[in-house]
Amino acid sequence: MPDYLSSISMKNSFLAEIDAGLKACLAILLAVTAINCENRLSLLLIFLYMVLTTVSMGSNLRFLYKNALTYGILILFPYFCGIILSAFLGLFFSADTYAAGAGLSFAETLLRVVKIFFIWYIGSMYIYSTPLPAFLGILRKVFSPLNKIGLPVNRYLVMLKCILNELNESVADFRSNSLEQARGIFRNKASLKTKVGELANIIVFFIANSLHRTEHVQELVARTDISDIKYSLKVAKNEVWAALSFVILLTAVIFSETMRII
Amino acid sequence: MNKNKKIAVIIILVCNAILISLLELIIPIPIPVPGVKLGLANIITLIAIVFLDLKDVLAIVLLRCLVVATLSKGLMMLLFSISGGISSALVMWLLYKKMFGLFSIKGISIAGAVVHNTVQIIIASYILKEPIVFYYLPILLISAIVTGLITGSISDLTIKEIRKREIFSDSV
Repeated sequence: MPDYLSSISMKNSFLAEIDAGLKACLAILLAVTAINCENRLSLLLIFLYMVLTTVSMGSNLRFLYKNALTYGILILFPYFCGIILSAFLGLFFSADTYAAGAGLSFAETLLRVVKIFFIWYIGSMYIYSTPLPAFLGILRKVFSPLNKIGLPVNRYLVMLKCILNELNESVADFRSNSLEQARGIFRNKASLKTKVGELANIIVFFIANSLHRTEHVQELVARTDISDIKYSLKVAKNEVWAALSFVILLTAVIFSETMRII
Repeated sequence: MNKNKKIAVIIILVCNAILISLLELIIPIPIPVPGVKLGLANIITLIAIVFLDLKDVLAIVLLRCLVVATLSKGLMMLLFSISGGISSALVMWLLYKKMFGLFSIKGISIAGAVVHNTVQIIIASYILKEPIVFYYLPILLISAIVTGLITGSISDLTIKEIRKREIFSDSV
């Protein structure tokens, strides 16, 4: 998570200006469309739409690459490791129990892998392109009914806002102090036990220092008003363009699904 | 401890968990396996388990996952981090509070890492609808033991220091 705060800077583009609620609806519809597609052409169309959206977001394709990498590490790597290991075990034991019996249906799984990646990417794109206040406002709108059944959603949202404020204030300080000290420890040629001990000291010092801010954070919580976290729908030119582009995509996908072009 | 002070401490601990995980960038992992990370944020979960109650521990894990998902990885990642984080926190809390003295902090940390990785593999298997990913579990379990031991060692020293310096009793 090296540059998570700097990544917010990309939220200054066509996609970022679209109403967060409408964008959420479009993202959900796009994900549902991707799940229900059976045709390769439909998936290609959705992929192209996603690339176009990434470019319109003002981001380069590095965003797509980073997402693919995370997805690959968490989903694909275990899957392919599983295939290799099951095949390997199949050499020594009954093949029925392992590779052949493991229910490997490559084409089906590949299709599922692609669809899951699309959903993964759509979620990331939504988060990256939505300004935090708008996102918190959407969360409040969606989850506020839970307040009535006793779940303190509003309190958690205020805490979330305070955490984001606190992080903004303390990340630079942490990088220049604790991170640099820890870097110094791992440059030395001491034993692992010594390094762990020194790292623990840095962490204790950091925690002790941070807890001195308790009063400041209490004031911040008191100052943060839940009514500041709000959302109201706005419809302008950008929203119309976004909805229109989605309708065009949906039409093309329905056409490709019904005609079975590929 | 009054409610406002408790909220402030939870906010600070969530921030600490996120910032401490930045240290992972400079610490070499003994087993370089894709998807394996030290999980230094677990130190804060362990501290919370020792010094706070279960509700606060779960709030810290939940808020940390939400903030990290909001700021970096995206919505799908939330499914993995919340399920792994909450289940490992619950297991660690049970081991610490209900089986007091049977497990050291290092042992609890290892158990937490094992549960975290196992739950993540279960989720991956459920999403892919492919049980074959479970073949990867032994590799993840071995790495969980190593990373759990490292974070457990740091947590152990940190908790001892916190007790010695009475950091929490001063501020809370």
